[in-house]
Amino acid sequence: MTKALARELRRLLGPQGVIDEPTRLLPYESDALALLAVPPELVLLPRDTSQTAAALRLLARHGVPVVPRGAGTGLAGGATPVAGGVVVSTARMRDVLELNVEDRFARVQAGVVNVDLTGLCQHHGLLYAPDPSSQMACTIGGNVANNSGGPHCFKYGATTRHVLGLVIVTHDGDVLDLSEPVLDPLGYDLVGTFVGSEGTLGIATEVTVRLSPAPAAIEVLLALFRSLDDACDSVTDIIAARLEPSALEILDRLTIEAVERSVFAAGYPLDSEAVLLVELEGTEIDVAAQARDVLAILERHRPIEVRRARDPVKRKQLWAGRKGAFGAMGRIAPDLYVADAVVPRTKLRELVARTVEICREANLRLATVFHAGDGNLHPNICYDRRNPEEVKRVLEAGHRILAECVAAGGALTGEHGVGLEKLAEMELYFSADDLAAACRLRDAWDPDRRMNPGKVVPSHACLEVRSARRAGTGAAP
Amino acid sequence: VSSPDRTATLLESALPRAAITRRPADDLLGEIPVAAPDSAEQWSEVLRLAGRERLCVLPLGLGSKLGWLRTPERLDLALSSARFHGVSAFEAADGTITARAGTTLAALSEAVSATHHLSPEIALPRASTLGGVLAAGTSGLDRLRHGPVRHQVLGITVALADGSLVKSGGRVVKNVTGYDLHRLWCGSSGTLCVLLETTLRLYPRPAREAVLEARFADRAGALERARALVRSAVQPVAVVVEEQGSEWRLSLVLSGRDEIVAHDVDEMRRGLPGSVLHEGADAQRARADCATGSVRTARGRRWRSPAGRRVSRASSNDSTPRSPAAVSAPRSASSRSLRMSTSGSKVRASAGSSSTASSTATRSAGGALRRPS
Repeated sequence: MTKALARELRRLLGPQGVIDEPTRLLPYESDALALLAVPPELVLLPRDTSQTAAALRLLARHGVPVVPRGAGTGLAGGATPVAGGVVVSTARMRDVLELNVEDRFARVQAGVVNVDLTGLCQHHGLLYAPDPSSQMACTIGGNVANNSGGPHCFKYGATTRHVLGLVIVTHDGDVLDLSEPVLDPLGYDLVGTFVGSEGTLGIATEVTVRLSPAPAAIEVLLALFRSLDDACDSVTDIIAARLEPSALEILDRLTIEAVERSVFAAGYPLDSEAVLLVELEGTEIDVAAQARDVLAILERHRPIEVRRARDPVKRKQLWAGRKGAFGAMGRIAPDLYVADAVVPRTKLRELVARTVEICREANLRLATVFHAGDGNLHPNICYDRRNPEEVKRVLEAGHRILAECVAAGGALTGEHGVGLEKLAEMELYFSADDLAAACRLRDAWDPDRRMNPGKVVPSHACLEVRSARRAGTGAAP
Repeated sequence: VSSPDRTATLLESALPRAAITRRPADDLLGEIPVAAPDSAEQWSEVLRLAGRERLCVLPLGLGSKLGWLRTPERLDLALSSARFHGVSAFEAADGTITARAGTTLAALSEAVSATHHLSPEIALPRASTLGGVLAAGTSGLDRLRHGPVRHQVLGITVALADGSLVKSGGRVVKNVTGYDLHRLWCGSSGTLCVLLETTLRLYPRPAREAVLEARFADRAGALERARALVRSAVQPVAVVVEEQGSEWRLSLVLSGRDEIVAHDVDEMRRGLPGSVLHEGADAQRARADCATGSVRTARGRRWRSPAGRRVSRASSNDSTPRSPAAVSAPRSASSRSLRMSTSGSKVRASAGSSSTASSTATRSAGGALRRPS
């Protein structure tokens, strides 16, 4: 990368918009998947859509690869820099552009932090539903790139259900304005296609999100069980009874221990093997009726105890252990491999038991916390990254868990994305033809393949598409 | 152009005879052969053949929306889903259903009705196939509660123009594995692929249904009340305003648990003095009537141009489609006419007619957040 290019970028974005001193580049070496780190040559921090467009136009002229980045909380390496490329961060695009209470939508810049939008809505009796566990730091733009989830996605659905419009800067610096808040697009659904594309189709600079009415009443039930199976079976029964809590979360024994020994201690008895959190939302009568039915199901699985809370302070206490789980695990292991897989909700018990077995066979410690209502497992494998032999066992166990989930009719990732982490596993889930179609979509948006190269779709699958196109036999998707 | 006879002969090499018919000429299309594959392999085979012979193909459900887009300039062959139907998996305990494209929405709803509600709740479920509804991207009466049709889709398997079979998404309710190609296919009107098999998420079957109907002398009054209802604590399935004779009918569709619907009805009746309450089978009739409002009032309306304005650095007169505009909406959208078949009689709007000439308006409420209709 030439000095002249950096100078030109500084002229476009101002001195605050370009980082090139090695010490200040350090935090951008990786996202939350710290196993993979690549030092970036340059980090750009444009202030708005037009600065982003100007920068991308210039980078296109010089053929420089671009890695978009939100807050860098992603767990799959989606924001890992690429050699010879620049990182374009949305961190300085933090303005809320419009809050329409009447029609229940907000238009925000991509760098607005998830929890800030949530806070802003609260004053108006509204709610921005997606609530990833990293919501204190993660950005709306990053949520769009990853189609992020969170505990409440069980009821409200993942980010894609809440995105009404986008402003996208394309690979060559063009601006695609799809920001009008429409529920059903006419013609191709470019917004829906873009959400979850992990920065490979362009950079979203503005996001129009749907806001939901805040519920009138909320109740949290916390059940403690003697076995993990009982907790899983309770969830399967709640789903089969077609009850619709807003969240269904399970914590296993090792997680409980970690939580109880940490500042997040929630008073969970140490003889319980599993905690199930159920949150109910709605009108007063609705919540009362749901609570009655959920309790009846929980009782069938002989819980040690069921705690209930209606008021915000007590609810927060019951949630404390879950929200603090990842922080607490720092106490039981130096490093944590946070896996992410999905299974049909009828097979929860079976697959959770398999992950436990796989880790036992590999002599690894497993702490499981997961979005049970969605069938979204998060087996957290404890390890020490200074021990390369252990790292190898962790990655093998992670691969085996994913293979088992796919074989059972599940999927590779429920909310963390593919990034770099799951490239190899994509072939467990997709055929060569499936991946070729994905490559064609990518090529339609970014023919030079400069946007977040090497992520999401295995590159050899794309090589085949390219050679087929050269031979003139490939059809456009 | 390949002659119908030549095309039919070519088809016989790829498909059994029972799968090949002719569609007689009408005011939309000339006479064309129709191929109706009954397996994924046959779909693949017939598309490979069409690719080899450079035939232009038109994927077809029951054809009720043929007039929505301009008739293709060249057409050699229609591909029908008539023989590719049926539910392949209904996972009641998981709340998902997987079915082939030719399955009617009525058949799908029936398959799940003991335990679940199937969205979209569209106007003419017997006359609509799953593939057709998804390809057209038509949402239903229940969009306010459950969201647009594309939100119901968990995964789709399609056949591309080169005959390859491709899947996106899956059968689980939460999934970010790879691109959401299924969202692009949904609403793509058969221009990208043929939809073969789809998995939808389901919703609990409501224990109780009710419809409250009130009449207003003018449209403004009805719409104002509708907006207030959408914003109330009660979360209705739909709020529909339709002109009927000299009056405007406002229908509030409610469903859910017994005690909740009972409570909501009490609450809402106070806000709608003089309203009529429909319950039980009567409510289902009233609800179906609301759903068909969009068909009744189709006359005289046009589709608006797509929302995606392209604001380019260069200039607004740069009309060369480039990526991603190359994969963007049909540019003819603003001039397309709307045509719908309704029980025997067809209504058609001429491409030049003005939307303001419309004498009726149906509104699935949701404020500004709705498809122009």
